[in-house]
Amino acid sequence: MKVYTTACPRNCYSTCAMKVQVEDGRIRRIEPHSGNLATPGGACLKGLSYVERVHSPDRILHPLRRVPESGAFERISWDEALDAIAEKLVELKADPGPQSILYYSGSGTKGLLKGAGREFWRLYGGCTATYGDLCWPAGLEATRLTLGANKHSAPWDIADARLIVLWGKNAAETNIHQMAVIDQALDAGAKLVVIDPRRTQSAERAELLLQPRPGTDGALALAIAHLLIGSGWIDREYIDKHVHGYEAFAETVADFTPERAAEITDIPAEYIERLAEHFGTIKPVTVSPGFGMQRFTNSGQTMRALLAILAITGNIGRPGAGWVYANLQSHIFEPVLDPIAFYPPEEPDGVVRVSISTARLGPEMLATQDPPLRMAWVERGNPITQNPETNTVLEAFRALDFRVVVEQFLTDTAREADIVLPAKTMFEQSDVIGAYWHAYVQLKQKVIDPPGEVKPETEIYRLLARRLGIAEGDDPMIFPVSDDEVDAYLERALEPFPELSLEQLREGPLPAPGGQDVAFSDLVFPTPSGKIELESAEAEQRWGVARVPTYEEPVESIRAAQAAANDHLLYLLTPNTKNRIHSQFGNLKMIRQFDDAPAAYLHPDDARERGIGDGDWVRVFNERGELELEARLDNGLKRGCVCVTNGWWISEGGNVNFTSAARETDMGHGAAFHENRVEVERLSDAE
Amino acid sequence: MPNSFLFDPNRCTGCGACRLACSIENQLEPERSWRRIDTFNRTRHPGVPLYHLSLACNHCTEPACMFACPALAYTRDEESGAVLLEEDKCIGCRYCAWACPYDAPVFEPPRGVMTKCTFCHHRLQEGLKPACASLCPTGALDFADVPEAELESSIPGFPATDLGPRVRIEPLNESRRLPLMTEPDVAEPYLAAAERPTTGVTLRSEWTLLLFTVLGATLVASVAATLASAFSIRPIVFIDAAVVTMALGSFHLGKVSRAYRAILNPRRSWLSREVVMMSSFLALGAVYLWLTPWNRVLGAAATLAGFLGLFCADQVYSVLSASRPAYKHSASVLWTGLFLAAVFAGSWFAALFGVGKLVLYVQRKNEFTDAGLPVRPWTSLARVVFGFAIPVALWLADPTGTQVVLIASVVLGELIDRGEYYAELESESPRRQMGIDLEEQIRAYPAADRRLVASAGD
Repeated sequence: MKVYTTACPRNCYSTCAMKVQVEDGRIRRIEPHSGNLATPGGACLKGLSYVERVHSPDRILHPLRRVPESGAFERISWDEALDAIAEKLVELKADPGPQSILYYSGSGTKGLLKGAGREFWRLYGGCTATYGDLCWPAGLEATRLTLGANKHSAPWDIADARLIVLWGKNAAETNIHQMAVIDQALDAGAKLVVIDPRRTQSAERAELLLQPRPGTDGALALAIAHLLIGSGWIDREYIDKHVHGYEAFAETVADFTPERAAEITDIPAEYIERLAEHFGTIKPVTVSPGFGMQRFTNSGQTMRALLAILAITGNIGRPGAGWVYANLQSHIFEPVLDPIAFYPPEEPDGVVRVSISTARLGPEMLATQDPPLRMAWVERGNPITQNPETNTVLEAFRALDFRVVVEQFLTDTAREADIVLPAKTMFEQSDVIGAYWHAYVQLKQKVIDPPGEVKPETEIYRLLARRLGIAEGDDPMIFPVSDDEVDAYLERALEPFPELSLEQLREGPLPAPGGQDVAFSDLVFPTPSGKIELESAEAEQRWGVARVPTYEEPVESIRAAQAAANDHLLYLLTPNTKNRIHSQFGNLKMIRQFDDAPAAYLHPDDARERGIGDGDWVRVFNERGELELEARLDNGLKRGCVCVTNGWWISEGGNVNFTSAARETDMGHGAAFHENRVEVERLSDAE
Repeated sequence: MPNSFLFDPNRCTGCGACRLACSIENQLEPERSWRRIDTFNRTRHPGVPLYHLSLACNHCTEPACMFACPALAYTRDEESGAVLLEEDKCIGCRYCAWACPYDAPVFEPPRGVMTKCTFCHHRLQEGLKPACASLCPTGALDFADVPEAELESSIPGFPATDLGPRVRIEPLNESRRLPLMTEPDVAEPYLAAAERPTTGVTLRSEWTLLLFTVLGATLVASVAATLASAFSIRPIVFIDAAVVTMALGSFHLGKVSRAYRAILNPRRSWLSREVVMMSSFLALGAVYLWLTPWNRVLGAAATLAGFLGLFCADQVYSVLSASRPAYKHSASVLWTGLFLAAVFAGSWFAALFGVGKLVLYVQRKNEFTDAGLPVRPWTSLARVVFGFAIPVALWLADPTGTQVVLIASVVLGELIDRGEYYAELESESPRRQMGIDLEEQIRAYPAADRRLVASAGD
């Protein structure tokens, strides 16, 4: 039995270091690796389930072609697959041009080798690409505008906090290793407050659970700021030295009373007062906002309002205090960091057309002209289920002439492909990865050879480049294929950092050079004013929002609907669960034993009004689409909400994005698809 | 070395990694993992905390499974303290699962045997902790040497026993057990059916045992009546019925080929004793009726074995909970055997036993009414009509007439009574205990007010 060090490259906070035991070419066990101080307890259940995922009988092990007549897939050889793709690429390059190809790369896996894809399409002559991101741009941009950089203290710093606010975050399910540190703080006497419309697993440890109307967190934050200022619970000295725009901010919250916020948020004023008192009288305070809250049309302003609370109480740059949102300190290989990195370039280069907003993928694919889109290449992503407005995304993909999907399993997106190419797993090619919660650089090490006829993306691109006569195709520093070539590629990337070497990374994680364990402990804020900016000129110029944080009612507000006599009167919450990373892992037996089928959770009172009982078959719908699934009752859910976890495949019966809207957030080019107003009705004939 | 599991529900998030770790380490189908996670208050009833219990085998100091196992398939590893099940000795009777209040033994259908947690003793030998304890991401589950005196676990949902389970469950931390919520009120809080107490044993799953016990009692009664020269059962009928009885008794075994092992633990297992006595009865009864009907000593021996077998059969169920102990339960097979023997013999004792059974039956139904359990009025009526009314009417109409219909009616009544008994039986388990404790806590709500009250002056 051989044991290797590796790290999990999923789009997840924890980015666990792990030891992999390999026996006869099979992954036998995933064990904890003590080198990553943020994840000492070892991988979560998804990490453990790689044992099944890698060797699953459902895995795609050779190229497939969809038979147009039947929709079924048939096995083809690599030569057939690559010849067909190359032929199409030659044809499209001549007419209507290379930009008729959409290159869509999702967040399914991290790594430096992702760059090979971008390089290939550039060498080919161009393509169309997306900008923005489905996940977290609003908060990234709000943080960048306010603090100047997206970084936060080391994960274990929260153990020193005395007040912890999980604001819209269910760490117990999405960042389980953070719960272990929060437990340490609680053992030492800290208080935990959870703000979430659901009574989540994380809330069970909380002293206070505030359940706001979805999308109104900004109003709550402004009222807290109002109370803090009114009661003198602010750090005047800190504000004078390190905060820009306090006066303007104080002016805007002057009339944001708790009563006004109670009216907006549905949270009784006495709870708002209690939380404000906590913020004002307990130090240090850490606020850890979640990603679900980033997907509203007012998210950027909401996040700026939350940040303001920490700024005026002097809770940034001190141990145990801070803003635990996105820690990009390990993103040392990128010349430009998120969110700027995924904005459309200010001066297009004429080769790669970055013109489609990820948030509006479907409508913008359909609307693209000069040239229109004719082909799509999808890798590391499952946009059919994960992007808003599934029906339009489906229509856009079906309107193309040709679709190539690189995948491990027959996801909803792969099922739409003309050609599916088998994708490697994290265990089948080495790569270097960063993280966004801790600041370790880690090696995701190759531990087994790809099974069947699986080829890593770099090899796929090399073979295609050869067919297209692209000379650089054989350059191993662009398309590394053999293990030695991959190592050389990674070593070159590590060269600028003498602290990092492949040799050391094989043994375990290394802290990214130049990182801070307590973020902003130097109280240097790389903003235009050099201070924390509560007032930002750039916010106004770039995004057209107020210079200071304000509250705007979300576009898809139930209150607006009630006023307009719209009959879709429930907020659809589509949180992540511990059982999946978006649409990954849900197809495994090891995971399905915990969660077998999608369900719509309803408050018992909302259910009774609609004649719905536990276990009834219901339709969740709005003008954009619908899904049919089983209803379950949840006494802990806020009234007026219905909850379906996201990531179920259409083929599993429950894709939530049939109902979501293709709409951008107020800043950062994020997707505001959590503003999703629906209705639920009982289906008379339960199937 | 008192190895023990340590579990802290204050840290557990119910993620499932421990359950998965177990199935991966021990190469089990995921759904047959030896570690189970049960959730208290899954539907989030306001005023009641939500937490999880992750439990596998507790490797008890007094292992109920080991004592109950008729096939001596259980052993204890002296070094690690692990209670182990030797698969090649297991007959798949599942009696250990009835006896274990923690639901630790798991039936493995493809192999027809039980399997269970081994403490990962192969890992212990390498100085490693069990897989589940070493892969808990939050540190809620651990493994250590804990002095027996410190193995105190008292938390709603964990069955209290005197078996000496080697697990320590931290009490729920009062300061963390329930958040103050802005939306605590639900007009009609919902409790999912799955959260109500479960029985673990059902008539549907145990119908062969119902037929086995009633047929056994009937055969014992027929031999007893024959011995008393008040009745005569034809040898061929008895032998055929004996074969059917044996078949019914072994029908539910996962490993029929090892059925002989069921007699290996008469020292401790009521199941072994029952099998020994009932087999002896059937064998002696067949020899007596068929070959030596004149040998009254043999007949008496068969009858004695038979009644002892029925006594043991009642005791087999003592590991489960029922409304009352077997000796004063109307569905006791020993009483059924005695009652039927008197009926076969046409003795006045039939009236005595019949009235006794009727009184016990009515008492049981009264208890059901008091406890809020289903009384099943139509079933009860059928039991009284077939079991007592029709036979009495037939006897009054013609005291010397044919007994066949009368006996059939009595047996049908007994079947109904005992069928209800199987539906009433409950196997202790954490899930059942959680249901009971949750209902109790919900009844106490809203005594505990969880709403933040505005302070004076607001």
